[in-house]
Amino acid sequence: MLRIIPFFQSETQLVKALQQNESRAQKAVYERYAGKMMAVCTRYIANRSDAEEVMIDGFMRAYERIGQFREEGSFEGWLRRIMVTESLMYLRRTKVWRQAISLDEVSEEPDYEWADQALETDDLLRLVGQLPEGYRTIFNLYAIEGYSHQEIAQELSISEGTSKSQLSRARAWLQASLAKLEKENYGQIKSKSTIG
Amino acid sequence: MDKSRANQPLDDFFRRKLENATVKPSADGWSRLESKMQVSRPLTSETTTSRVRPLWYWSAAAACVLIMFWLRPPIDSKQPDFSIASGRKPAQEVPINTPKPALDRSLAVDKSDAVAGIQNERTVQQSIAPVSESKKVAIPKEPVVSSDQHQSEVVAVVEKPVPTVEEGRVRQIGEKNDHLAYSNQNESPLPVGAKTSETERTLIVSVAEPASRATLIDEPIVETSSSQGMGSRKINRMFQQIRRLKNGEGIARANPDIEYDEESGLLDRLVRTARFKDNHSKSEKQ
Repeated sequence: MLRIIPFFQSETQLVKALQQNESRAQKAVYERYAGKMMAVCTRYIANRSDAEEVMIDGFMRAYERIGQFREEGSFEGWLRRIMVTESLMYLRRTKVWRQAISLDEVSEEPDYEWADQALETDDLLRLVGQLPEGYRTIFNLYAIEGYSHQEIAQELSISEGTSKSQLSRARAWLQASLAKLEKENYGQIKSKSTIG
Repeated sequence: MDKSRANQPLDDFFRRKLENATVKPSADGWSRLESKMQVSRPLTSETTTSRVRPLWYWSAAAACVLIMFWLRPPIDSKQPDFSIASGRKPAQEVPINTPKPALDRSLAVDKSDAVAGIQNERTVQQSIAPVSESKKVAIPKEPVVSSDQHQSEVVAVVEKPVPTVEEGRVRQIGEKNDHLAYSNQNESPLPVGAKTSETERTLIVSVAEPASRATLIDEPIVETSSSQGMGSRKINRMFQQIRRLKNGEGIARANPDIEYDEESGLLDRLVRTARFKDNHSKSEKQ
């Protein structure tokens, strides 16, 4: 029997095929979204191999629960939420929550224009990955995913105050790190110009 | 968006840079995912459904065809008696003292004639209706006859005309009753022995039978065959008919006054019927 190989051009087609448990659709979804979802998981889990395991688990969870997708939002957003949840579950399992960092010095505001041009995605991910898990998680949830403190508190079973304080600490640490990077970069530029 | 969120260039910077960032996963990511899924689900439903689906389609189609055959309404009321068409005589229709099977046809014509006598006399030319004949499909009947046929022939008695006409007509009616008795032995108002000479007369009268009337008369007989209730026999007839049609035969209604071969097909019947009509009209003119 002649079978037509489907091309999942639209997200709706892809979702319908996923709902019918078509392995081609599952592979297509993986190939289309694996990079983005890997970035999401890497933001929460610094270790790349761990992040990839979590991402794979997230895809599995998405295939299993595709029937729950209601097409009210985008499929990518739905998949991203699954990845975030999987990452949080991983962090809960590993119990690396409440590590504190000492903020000896509060640096001044970095030059974001410079950072925007000079820093690549990997640099920023590395920077975020250096944050302790608790700070990093709250920063990711609040600043990038757009959760409110109330939602974060519910999600992580912490108080809103803890969420706020950890966020401000994470911001401070990131500012300091960016400023440090900026200085190093300018120092390198200055030394290059003096040598030249 | 709340105040703290709005005035945070750091948050905006990271959101803008990381929201749609991509990180290339390892090359074996999909294979690992696939193996994990196989562990959790040994047999995906897609493979099973894709294999089973065609079988379901075919079986459903076959079931539909069978149901259509079995639940088909008795629309064959205009179809001629298969036993006559094939030239075979059903077992219960041939009692010991009965004349040759052509008389059975005369019986049917008698009935119609009686009914026609109540209304009007029809012309001779309409006796054998070619139009109605062309619509009918004669299928040879199986030699085995069940007792259900008696019931269906009783249905034929329903068309028994009222014996309130002239004497000659009454005789025909009586003769008809004889034939009914011959068909259904439970109702025999007249002795069977008196019917032979009258039968010939009846045959002449039957020539005057109009086409539409003949069609009406055929109904009970066909009812006989269709009300057999023997599904397998029906199907056998249908298959036989289909086979003959496939061989390119035309369609002809069987004429009970014509002797058919056991193996004669529909085309043969058509030719014989045409010859019979031709001869009959010639003899009438003479």
